[in-house]
Amino acid sequence: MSRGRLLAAVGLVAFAVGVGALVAPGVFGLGIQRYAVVVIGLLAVAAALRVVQGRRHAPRRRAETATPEAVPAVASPGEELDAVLAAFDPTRYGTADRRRKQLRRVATEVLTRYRGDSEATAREAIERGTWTDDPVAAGFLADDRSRPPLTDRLRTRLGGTSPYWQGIERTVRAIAETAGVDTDDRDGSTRPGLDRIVGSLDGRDAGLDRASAVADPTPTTRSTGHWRGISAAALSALGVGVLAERAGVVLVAVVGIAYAAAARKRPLSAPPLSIERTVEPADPEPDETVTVTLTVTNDGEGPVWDLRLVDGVPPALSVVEGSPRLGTALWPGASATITYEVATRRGRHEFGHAQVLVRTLSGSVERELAVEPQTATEIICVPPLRPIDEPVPLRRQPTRHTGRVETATGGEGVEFFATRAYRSGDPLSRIDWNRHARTGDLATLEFREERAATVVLVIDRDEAAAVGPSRRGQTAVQRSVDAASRLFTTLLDDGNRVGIAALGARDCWLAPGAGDAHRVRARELLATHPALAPGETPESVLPFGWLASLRSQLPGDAQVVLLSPLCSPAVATVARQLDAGGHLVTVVSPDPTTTASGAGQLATVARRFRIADLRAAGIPVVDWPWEQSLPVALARTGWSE
Amino acid sequence: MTGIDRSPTRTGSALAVLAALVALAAAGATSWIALAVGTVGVALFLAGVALARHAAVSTGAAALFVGVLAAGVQGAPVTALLVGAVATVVAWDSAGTAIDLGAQLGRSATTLRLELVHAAGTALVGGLAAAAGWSIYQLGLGTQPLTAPVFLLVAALCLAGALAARGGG
Repeated sequence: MSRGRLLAAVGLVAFAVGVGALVAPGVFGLGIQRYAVVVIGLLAVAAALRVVQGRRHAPRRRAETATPEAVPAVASPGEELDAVLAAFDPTRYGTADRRRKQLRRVATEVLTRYRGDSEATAREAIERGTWTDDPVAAGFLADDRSRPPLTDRLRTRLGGTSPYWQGIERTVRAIAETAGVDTDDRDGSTRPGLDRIVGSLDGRDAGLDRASAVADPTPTTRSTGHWRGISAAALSALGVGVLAERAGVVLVAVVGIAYAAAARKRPLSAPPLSIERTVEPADPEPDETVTVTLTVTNDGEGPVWDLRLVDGVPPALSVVEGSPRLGTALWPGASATITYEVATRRGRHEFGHAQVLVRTLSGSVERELAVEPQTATEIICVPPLRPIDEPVPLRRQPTRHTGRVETATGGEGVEFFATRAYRSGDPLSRIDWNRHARTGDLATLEFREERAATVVLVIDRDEAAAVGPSRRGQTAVQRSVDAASRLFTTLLDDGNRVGIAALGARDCWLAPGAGDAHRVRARELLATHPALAPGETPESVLPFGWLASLRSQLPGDAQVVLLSPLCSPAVATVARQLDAGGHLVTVVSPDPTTTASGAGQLATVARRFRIADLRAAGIPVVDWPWEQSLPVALARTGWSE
Repeated sequence: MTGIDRSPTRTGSALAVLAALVALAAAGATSWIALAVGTVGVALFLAGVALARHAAVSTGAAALFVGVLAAGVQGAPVTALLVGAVATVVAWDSAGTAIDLGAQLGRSATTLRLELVHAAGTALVGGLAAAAGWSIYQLGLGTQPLTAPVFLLVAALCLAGALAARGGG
């Protein structure tokens, strides 16, 4: 017999006894009544305690909602120490000693590069612990691993970090200082070393990842446990009232029973809801705010007592005004409206479905559903192409004509280059007549000859490039795309043939071309191609298969401008292989590194190594500081071979 | 930094605090024990609402309810007991809803209508039950020996339990 049926049977018996006592008070012996009532009182109190006890082990449940207001947090370079170390030395296995080995290698490299030591000298300095003034760092990498002084060990213990992690931290700092990386502005120095160095994921949004929360369209029903424990109120009131012989307290039990009955689980069918969403304007300029209006209507016959809605704001857009959330009750045919504003960014942004939670009036059952409007909502933001005033860093190409160096800008020669002695056959228009009038010599003016170049802008959109110095800021990929749009315009205006490619994305390819139609295609591709979409974290792929297909697409004389933060060794390899394959490569590198954590400092050192290596291989690199604008960075670099 | 403010909603918190104070006043007016236990309960309850802790809210509400029962044992008027009991449940329910709503929708969302409808529903259930109980009491059942009403209540409780065995309370 189920518990429900047993209770029902006992209830019926009790009802009969109660009615009997009402109708004929003398039927039951008074003494028996007295004992029965006391037993009932004790039982009720015991049952109430059991309910309270049971409540502890049955937590309330509620659906989690996403946080569509905020854009996903931006990782910083050097989020994980191990990843940074692996970039130096891809030793994957081994125990704790692996990090020590890797750090030793980094230190050797830093010493050979920045102190001019030979590799053997550097190794010896590290083994003997003479490479740094910091005894902890020196001891950590030294071979004999002599124990640090007692005071240091005590301080480590009291500071709450293990000697191992403290050793890593101090070593990283010593390495960074040797490499000239600023280590002063570190934050959170009171946090345990482990968290600080390894780089915890603190600061990420609470709540579910939006993607997983909104992408699950299966309606689910759950019991919330909102009223769990209410029967304890009824039972305790009954028990206390009976034992104390207070009718008023027994009446309180009536209230408790009513609530317990009201809170019982009812089936909750998905209400027919419809939503309508409008955006104004749908094709905004960058940094314009778009007003989103969402109306939800109850199309059903019955009321929706409890409706909680979170709109599916596109991942890359952040809400700047109002809230995309609503809690309301809807009578049949009624509707409710929310209005909020989002800041736009470049790209095609599609709204997801709204996450809707409905509950019964008592709130004891919750059902989750996804509601979509009839027509999908989109915001398309295509920024205009703006040129820059600085010359674009192209490399001069050796030409078929010997003795000449050609510059990158196309069209007729206009820029004065030099004068030389007149040779018969020179056109009259190029004779320097002023000079002839002054001195009687015949000289010919030479203009810089210009020839159109073919350039392909390659944008690094690897996972390693989707990093930035601030969690709520831009990523290096976004910087690169913006820079690509400006470089493209400038180069095209100068009469070059320009193409676009994205690292690792075969379908993102615009063959070099010229003309207005080409310009429109490029604008469209840079703004809306999924491979370059903001807010998406691209997958990490080894780009070498893509590289082979790029090389087959590149025209023979095409130059490559690679836009990359140089946060992974693979990108540097791509640059070198392209250069070696006959395509002159220039790297424009937004600098996303921060020195706020030890791993960040190490990532900064690694990036500097990569830049130095590329420059040594003859590939010019524009190191573009984060807070500078692109024209300033280009002007500061000063273009020359 | 972490997106939105997910603390309990303002309307629900205000309703909950108001109801808790009403319950404290109703029970504490006639009984020192009720006032003492209820005050501790309200303090816990307020802390629970402020920090969005269901456990503290429930414990506080339970203490408040114990205060109501204590007042009843000490002979408080029936009306005060019924008001105290209903107000305690409304406070507990509003606080729980405010915490859940805060976690799901955050403070900046418009939730007024939902919370008012929900609180009105809860108050209505309690009000009807209290009125029914009070009518029966006025009809004279309260003056008889407790046997009949107790057995009837046990019957009601068992039937409610039978319904609730499929979930809920």
